[in-house]
Amino acid sequence: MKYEGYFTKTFKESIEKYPDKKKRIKALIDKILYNPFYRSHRLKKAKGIDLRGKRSRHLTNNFVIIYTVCDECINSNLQKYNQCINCDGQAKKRVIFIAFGTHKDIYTREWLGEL
Amino acid sequence: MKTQQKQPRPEGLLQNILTYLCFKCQTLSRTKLIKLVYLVEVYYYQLYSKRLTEIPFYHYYYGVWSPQVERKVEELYGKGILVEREVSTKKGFIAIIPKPNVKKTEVRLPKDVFEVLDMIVEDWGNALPDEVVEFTKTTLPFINTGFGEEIDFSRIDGIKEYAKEKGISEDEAATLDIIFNKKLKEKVLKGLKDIQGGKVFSYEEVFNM
Repeated sequence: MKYEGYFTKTFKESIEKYPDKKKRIKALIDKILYNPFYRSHRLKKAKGIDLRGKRSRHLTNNFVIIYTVCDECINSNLQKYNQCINCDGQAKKRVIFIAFGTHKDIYTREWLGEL
Repeated sequence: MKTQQKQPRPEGLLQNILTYLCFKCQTLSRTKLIKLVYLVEVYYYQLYSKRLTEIPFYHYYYGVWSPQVERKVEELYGKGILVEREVSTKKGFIAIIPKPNVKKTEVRLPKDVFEVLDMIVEDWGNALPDEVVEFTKTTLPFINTGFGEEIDFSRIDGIKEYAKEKGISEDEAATLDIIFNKKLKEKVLKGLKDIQGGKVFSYEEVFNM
């Protein structure tokens, strides 16, 4: 793995709800740790919620993972949006996994009238 | 002199996929089997952005339909690779399910295909056929294809489709995807508080290594 992974308490609690899928989630995490920029989206500020400095990636069966990439955060000067307490200003090869969820994507939800 | 009859074995990608699914899934009807092959394509496309097989699927009356998969199932029965087995359902009915008549080791597929098949088995192996049918009807390639038309797998990315429809960037669409989901939005904000408060765990701690 190219990056080192860290996980928030919220993330840890979320994946513990899926003990039968833990192996698979781990495999997906490993893919992100290999290349956190691949097929992910750089989040923005919208509707009064500021998600800058974070990325999301959709995976099979409606899994979505939200994380921040340490070196991107430092190099793009995004620290103020994450305010990691352990940040020492060094652009490290680290990914901090913030949240995990299972949901249908926005297009499908709108199509199904769930929005 | 007694001649030993050669045991048939599945040939080609689709025959191997069908045989493996029949080995692994507990509750499997022919209908469910066809839908599962479609889901294999969906998962594979989500992971690798390309089709696994070139089998055409169609948007039809009861969800996704593929005459080619149906024919292949018939072929497997004809060759004796699959046999029909009667089982009692939870509701007390007798159901006829396809079961492989070959050794599991005869199934030969690339590693990435086995991985996708195992995901399908994990997610849908025990699901009722109706649940699988309903799920296939909510998949984007199905939604984005007109009735009777061949399923277009390239329109599988909900974020991309939403961005195109609304005339916004994919990053903006991904942001709205989270913001418009109350539960997920709350989780993100809670997770953010965790990193601000130093509540962070290592890889080893999370995956009990």
